[in-house]
Amino acid sequence: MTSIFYKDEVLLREFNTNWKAQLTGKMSLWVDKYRPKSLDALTHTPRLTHLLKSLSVEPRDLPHLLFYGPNGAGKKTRCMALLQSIFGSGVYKLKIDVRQFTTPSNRKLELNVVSSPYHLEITPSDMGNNDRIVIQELLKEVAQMEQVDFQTASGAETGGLAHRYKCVIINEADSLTRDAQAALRRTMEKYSRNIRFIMLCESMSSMIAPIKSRCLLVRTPAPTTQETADALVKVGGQEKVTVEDEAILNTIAESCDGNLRKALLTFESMALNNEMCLKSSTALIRADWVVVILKMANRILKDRSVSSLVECRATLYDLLAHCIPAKVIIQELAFALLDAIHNDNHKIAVVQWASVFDERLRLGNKPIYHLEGFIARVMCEVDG
Amino acid sequence: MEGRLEPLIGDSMLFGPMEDQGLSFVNKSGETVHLRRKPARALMDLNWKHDESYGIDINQLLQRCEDSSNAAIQSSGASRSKHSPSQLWTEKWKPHTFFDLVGNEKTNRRVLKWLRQWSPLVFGQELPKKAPSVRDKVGADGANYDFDDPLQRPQKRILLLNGPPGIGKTSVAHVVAKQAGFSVIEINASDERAGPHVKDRIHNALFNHTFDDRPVCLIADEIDGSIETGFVKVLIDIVNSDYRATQRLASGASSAVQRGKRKQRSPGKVLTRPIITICNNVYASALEKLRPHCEIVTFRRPAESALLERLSHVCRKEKLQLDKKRLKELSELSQGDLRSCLNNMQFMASLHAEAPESTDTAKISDQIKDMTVSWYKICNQVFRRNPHEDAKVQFGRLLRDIEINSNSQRIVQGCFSMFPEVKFSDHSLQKPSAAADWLYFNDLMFKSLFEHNGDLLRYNSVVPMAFFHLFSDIANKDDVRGKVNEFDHREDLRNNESIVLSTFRRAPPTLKIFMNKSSLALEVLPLLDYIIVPDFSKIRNNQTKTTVLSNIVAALSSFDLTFSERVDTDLPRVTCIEPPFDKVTLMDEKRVKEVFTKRPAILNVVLAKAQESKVRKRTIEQARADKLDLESVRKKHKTSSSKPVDYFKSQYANVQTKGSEKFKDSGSVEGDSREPVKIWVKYKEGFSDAVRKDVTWNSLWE
Repeated sequence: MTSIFYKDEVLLREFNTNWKAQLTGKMSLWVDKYRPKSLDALTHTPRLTHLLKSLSVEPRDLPHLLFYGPNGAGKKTRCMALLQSIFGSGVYKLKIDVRQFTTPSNRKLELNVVSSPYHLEITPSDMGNNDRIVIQELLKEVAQMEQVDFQTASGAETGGLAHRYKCVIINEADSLTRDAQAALRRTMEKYSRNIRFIMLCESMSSMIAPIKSRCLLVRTPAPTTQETADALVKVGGQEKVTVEDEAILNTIAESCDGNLRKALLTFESMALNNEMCLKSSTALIRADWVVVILKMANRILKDRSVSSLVECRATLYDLLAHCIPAKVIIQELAFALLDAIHNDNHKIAVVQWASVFDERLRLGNKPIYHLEGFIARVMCEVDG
Repeated sequence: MEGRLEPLIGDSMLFGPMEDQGLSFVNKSGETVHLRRKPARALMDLNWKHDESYGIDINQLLQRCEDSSNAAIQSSGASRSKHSPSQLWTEKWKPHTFFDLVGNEKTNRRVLKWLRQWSPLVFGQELPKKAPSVRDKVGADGANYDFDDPLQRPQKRILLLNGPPGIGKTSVAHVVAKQAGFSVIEINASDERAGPHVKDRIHNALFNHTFDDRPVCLIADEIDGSIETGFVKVLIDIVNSDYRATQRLASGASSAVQRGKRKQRSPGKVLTRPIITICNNVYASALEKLRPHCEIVTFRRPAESALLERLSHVCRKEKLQLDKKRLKELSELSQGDLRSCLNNMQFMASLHAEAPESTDTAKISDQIKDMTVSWYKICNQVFRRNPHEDAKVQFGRLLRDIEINSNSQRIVQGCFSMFPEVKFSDHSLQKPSAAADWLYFNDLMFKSLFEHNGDLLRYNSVVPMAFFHLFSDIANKDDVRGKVNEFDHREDLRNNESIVLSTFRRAPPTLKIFMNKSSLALEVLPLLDYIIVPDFSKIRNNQTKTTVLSNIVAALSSFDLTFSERVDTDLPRVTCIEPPFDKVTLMDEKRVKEVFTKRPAILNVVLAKAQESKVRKRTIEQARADKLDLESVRKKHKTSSSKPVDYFKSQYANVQTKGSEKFKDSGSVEGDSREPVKIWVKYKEGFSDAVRKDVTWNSLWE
């Protein structure tokens, strides 16, 4: 037998190939490790949990659902927990299928569909402008297929083979085009025997009214600071993180603004970088792009000149190139400015111009013009 | 032509001072004309080597040209002295012979050469001498068709001329075809060119005989329009069927070479007439499939001197008084477009005739047709204010330039990237803010391209004018270059997006469903970046170190991240993570520096640790597996023998005594009391089951 340790490269390759086999799925980031898998394990918003439990008691009557709430509030977690309570843990046995669709213009589309035996999920942003076709074809195919449940065959209600529906989860439902939503509304009614939709979105403003009226709207609020901190305590306890002062947890929770995912990630990164021990003086870890935006906000207020504008422009280009959407930049920048400004009139001006330029961002397609315009405006306003 | 002849005559002057006075002159010493003629010819032969003559007697041709041009001069003295409005100059001064052609002679010759290669087939005349050289060339670059064409045609059956408008592609094609003795059939964009109609036309042209004796050359003009795919398809079909037929010819009957023409009716049709196609843009999508079948000749703008020469020639003939400077200006404005030069000259000539005094140099630019200035020049002009000129005039001129330029989006982009670099007086960034409003206006107008059929696009030319109004200053004199390159920016964005996507793809579905791409890029990856590389040197406690490490390994494994070695510029081998998502997440300069110094070392530790844990796990697993094996073996042998080794040995001995050939069919023949035993030995080499090999019994006992 030859030794595999004589060369670094061999070691690397060997390591990479065995990587997956060696580490079974148990190990992951804390945010995934401690994600509640069932309705009973859900932490915050007990009222919502109660509602979902009552839904799962009578699974045959499950309505179409529309979860809405901010990023990181736990929409998907609740959705999966609900499915788990209805179908059992088989919903977490996921696989990825590649489906092919043909557009009217004869272009071939490939779409990855994540599915379990009980549900499947689609993300409209994967399909771009062709989401109508995918919705029509995929969903009709699923909807027209009668599901036969052999497992609960003893069920007395339907006599023998129980009838069962399939769940379709639509992520980011707010990015569905109008056409796709229109295509959806009839399917929802016509095939409601075979198919149930669970839609997830951050804001309902872009959902058309007919869809909203067909769904049970489930608002998923973000956890409060206290709830976030409690979740952190829980995870910290299981991972044996020494928390010397609870205040630091509150700081993390506040900085994450109700985004539990971000909070847990921040918590883990801080714990690992500080020898599993958090003190009240431990520095808060923020994503690089946030740091960059904070710095830019300070520069805007400190040095209001064309040369500073040029530097800001370079930073903006950099941010955009690093996949940070323009609307996120303007939002973060506006809040960073608000924190740093003390004059009330200036604050009002910043909010006003931020909303003006946010509108311009949405209406136009040249983000750099409007982001820089916002900065120039703010510089003007602060100068008086 | 004159340019070529004059120096020759000049050279011949060494024979006598009087010789340049006329053809039939007799000089002092009584020598006659033929003495002067001969050296001139000899010199011409030097210029026109024999193998370049394409089978045409160039000298004869030169003679003919000279004669005809002399005739033209004489006739023009009478008929062309006054401008004749009935005829466009572009038509009148269209080149009629090969030597009238202006521009790169090499390309012209290439066209002629290609066309002459058809003559063995079309005219039945052998190409003098040069045939082998052509063959060589075919052999060198014609890897696709390794047989010689039995009909000695050029290897690529279609000639594709391309180049900007007005530099004489069509003229060259016509002149050369005429010169080579073909009669031209032209199909251009004005003709119906859809489907079967055009097919009939082309087939009629190519495969039928004409009434006059001259063979046909098909010239398909302007084939790069988007609607030309049908036409191009017909051409491709012809070429393909020709290849089939030719292959049959070459392989089937070599004797059929002579009867090649008659074999046309075989499944493919042999193409026996040259096709010349002309387009502006050789990379147009319609031509994509045709390109590989074509000999592509690219025309460039003629050199300015050649252009000027031709223009002054025309001027002289037309008796138009234009000095060199103005001609030069004209040629610059037209950017080498000879046709538009001629048009403008005719226009000027008519003006000239009406009011001879009015054509002063300053106004020449007003008379010429609208010419585009490059966007970059315009951008710089926007920021300049000429103190000696009325602002209104400057504004008007600039606006006209911008409106003419089709690339207004580019101009606005350029203005945006340049304005911080230029000097302007301002009160606390009021001007950049105002510019932002204009840019928003521009953005909205540009959007109309997708919504209202681009009706609002024309308002875009106002935006650079706003920049002119805001930022133009006397102090701006030098060319400025915007710092940020939009293209680089877009490339970076695309790279980073693909990194995020590939990271997302690697995540197992159980993780994937709980996040989307934007939350991955905004929240998960930046923090994951911190998670995987804590500073180990700080950690004293060994216990904590292990927990931290195991958490890192968990994080890495959950995203299926792997290690690889990047060969970097300054550091020879750096361990890094695959996919390199840190490129997306790292932005802060300070942190970037920090990361680049520390990270590889930390990663090495992590790698070693992960390796170690893996090995440990494996040894434990192996021990367990061994134990299991042993137990199962023990269970088996409880029934037969107490010692497994003894058992195997006795079996082996048994087999040995029976001999090898009996052993082969022992399973079926064995009549012994003991029932036949087959022994299966599973032998594993390495860690995995990947290596399986046949092992002989002997090798186990050695």
